[in-house]
Amino acid sequence: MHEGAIAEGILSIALDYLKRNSGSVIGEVGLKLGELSGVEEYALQTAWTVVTRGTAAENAALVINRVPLVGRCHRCEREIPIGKDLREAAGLMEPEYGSRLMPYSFLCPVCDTPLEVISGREMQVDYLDID
Amino acid sequence: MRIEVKSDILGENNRTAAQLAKMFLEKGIFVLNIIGSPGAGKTTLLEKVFARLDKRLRVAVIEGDLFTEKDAARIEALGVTAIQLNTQGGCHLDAPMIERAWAELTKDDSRPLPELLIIENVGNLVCPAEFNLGEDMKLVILSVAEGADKPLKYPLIFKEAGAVVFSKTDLLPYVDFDYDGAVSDVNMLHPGVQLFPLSAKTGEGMDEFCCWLMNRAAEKKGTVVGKGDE
Repeated sequence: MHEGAIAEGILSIALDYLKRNSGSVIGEVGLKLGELSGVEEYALQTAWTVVTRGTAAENAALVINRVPLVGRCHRCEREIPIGKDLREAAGLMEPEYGSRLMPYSFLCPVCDTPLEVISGREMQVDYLDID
Repeated sequence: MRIEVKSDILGENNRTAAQLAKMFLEKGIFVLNIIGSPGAGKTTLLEKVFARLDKRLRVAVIEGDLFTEKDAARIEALGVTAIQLNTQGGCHLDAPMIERAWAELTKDDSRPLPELLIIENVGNLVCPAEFNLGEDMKLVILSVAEGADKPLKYPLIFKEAGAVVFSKTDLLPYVDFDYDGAVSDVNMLHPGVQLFPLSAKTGEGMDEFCCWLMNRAAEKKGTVVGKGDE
């Protein structure tokens, strides 16, 4: 339950950029959250409603874009989706929120080399819509 | 109007953590951030480690808990300096809290600085994984009574940790802990991670752990001496 601290971090960045760009109100905040960032979306939305009360971001929508967890094998030069059902990874199945993930493995399934995580740890304010 | 931001949500915490890390490096202090569930045996492990180290290493501890000074009192009873942080409901420690605790620890400048600083995080396998505190390494403690399924259920902390302790191994005959399975899962999440099975109660595995800790501290101190500062 660290979503409160995260919502405060987002708000502080958003208000800072609003000021720098001489805006008066924030309409939308876009986030990039990696699959492996420990953020629970529902808790974050609730925390966002609470921390933005009485601020220029009071009615701002929080739009969350999830970034898939991907590792790179430096031996066989493959990029490997981590924690995904293979059907989902191949685009044959739509991912569902809250769907069951495969256990994470940070070893290459082909040659057993440790993978370097190239995406999936993001926790970033991506953009703001302001007026 | 859309503005591109691309700013790290935990940027402020990470900047403070980076300043702390730089300061700890300059002073040659090895900093270990200990993370585990409530009851995993974090404080007991520290008590037994300090008794074994028997002042061969100057140690200080920052204790993180929601409430009470119980843990700091246990550590201080062993003659080790401890600062208690109470998060009053907060589920993790952050870098600004460590900054304040460090200022408190070092306000009496007649006292020598520690060679090893241990931060005992709030009992929790989830949130502390996200917050850097300027430490050299995160260490995760999992007691065998908690079950062998925990690494796969809480992958981030096992991925982030530089060392893993399986504690309370004296309970292995009484609990259904799939030891080999847990080792294999931990290696899947963090290939080659340092692993210490131990029992603070019986002392099994404690020598290896203490030895490793002393070596890490000596290594860190060596990086300062090596630069010709002393």
